[in-house]
Amino acid sequence: MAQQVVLGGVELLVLLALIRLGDEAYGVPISDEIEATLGRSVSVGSVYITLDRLERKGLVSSRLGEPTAERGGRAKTYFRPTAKGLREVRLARRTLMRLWQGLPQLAGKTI
Amino acid sequence: MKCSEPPRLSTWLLERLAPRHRRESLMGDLLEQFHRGRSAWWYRRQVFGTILAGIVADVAAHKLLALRALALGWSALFLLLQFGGPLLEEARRALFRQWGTTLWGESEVLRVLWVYYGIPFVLLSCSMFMAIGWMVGRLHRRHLPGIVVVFSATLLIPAAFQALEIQRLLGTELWPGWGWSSFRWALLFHGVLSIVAYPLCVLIGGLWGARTDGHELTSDSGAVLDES
Repeated sequence: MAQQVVLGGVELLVLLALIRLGDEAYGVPISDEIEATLGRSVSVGSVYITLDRLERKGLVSSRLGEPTAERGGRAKTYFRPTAKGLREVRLARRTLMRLWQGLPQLAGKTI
Repeated sequence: MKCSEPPRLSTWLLERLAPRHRRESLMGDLLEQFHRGRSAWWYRRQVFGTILAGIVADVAAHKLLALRALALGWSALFLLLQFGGPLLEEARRALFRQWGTTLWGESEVLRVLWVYYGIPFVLLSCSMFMAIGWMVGRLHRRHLPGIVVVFSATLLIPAAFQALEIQRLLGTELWPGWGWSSFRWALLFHGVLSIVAYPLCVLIGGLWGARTDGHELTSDSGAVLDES
C-alpha cells in the first residue's frame, strides 16, 4: 500500500483551489481563489512554491500554455491535481472529519 | 492616473531574483494582474514576497550547498584581506610617497576624497567584493538567487560591528587636526559602504556571474560545484 503523504495547511488549500478551478488553474485564478477563501492577500510566489512542492510529491502536474499579449508574451503554467493528489485530499478530509467529531468544545458554535 | 507599465525596478529585480524555472509564468501572472487594475504598490509587495519566498525555499532545499557557498565566499574574503589588504596598503603608501600632495595639487576636493574617503581603496574594495560575488554566483548558478543573497546578507554581521565602532568613534574627539566635520562625514561614508555598498557589490557580482545568456540551465549544464 502506498504511504500517505501528510498535507500541510497551505498545500491542502492550494489543492482544493485546483480542484475548484478545473482545467483553467494557473497562478492568477489560484491566487484569487485562495485570497477569496482566506480574505487576505497572498503572494503569488509563495503559491508557486507550494505548487512546486506538490509537484515534487507527485500530487500535481503542470503544463505550459500559450504566451499571450496581456502577459507581455509570457506563457501561463497550468496546474491540475493528479489521481494521487485527489486521493490525498480525500484522505485529508476523512482524517480531519474524524478529528472534528466528538469535540464538545466546538459543538453548536458558529464562527 | 494609473500607469500602464509596472514599476521598472521591481520588474528588473523580478527578472533576476525570482525562482528561475517559474520566472516566466510568475512575471506573466503579475503583469496580468497589474493590467487588470492592481496597484503599483501591490505589484511591489508581490515582487518582494515572491523573491523572499523563493530565497527561503531555495536555501531550505539546498542547505549544504548554501553552507558551502558561505564557506567559499568567506574563505575568499579572508584570503583577500590577509594578502590583498597589506599589498593594497603598501600601494597606497607608495602612491603617497610618490606623489605626496602633488596628486591633488591645489584641489581641496581631491585631497578630501583621497585622505578622508580613501576613494582608490574604496574602488578597489568594491571591485574585490564584486569579484567574490561573481565567483560565488558563477559556481552556484543553478541555485541563484538564494545562495548569493544569503552570502551578501552575511556581510551585514561584520558591518554591524563596524557600525558600532563608528558610533563609538563619533562619540570621541580624535584627530582634531584633521577637521572634525570632514572626518565625521568620512566615518559615516565608510559605515554606509560596509552596510550597503559592499553587500550590494557582492550581490551585483553574483548576479553577473550567474547570468545564463538567456538560456535556461539544464541539469547537466550547471556550475562546477552544483548539486544535481
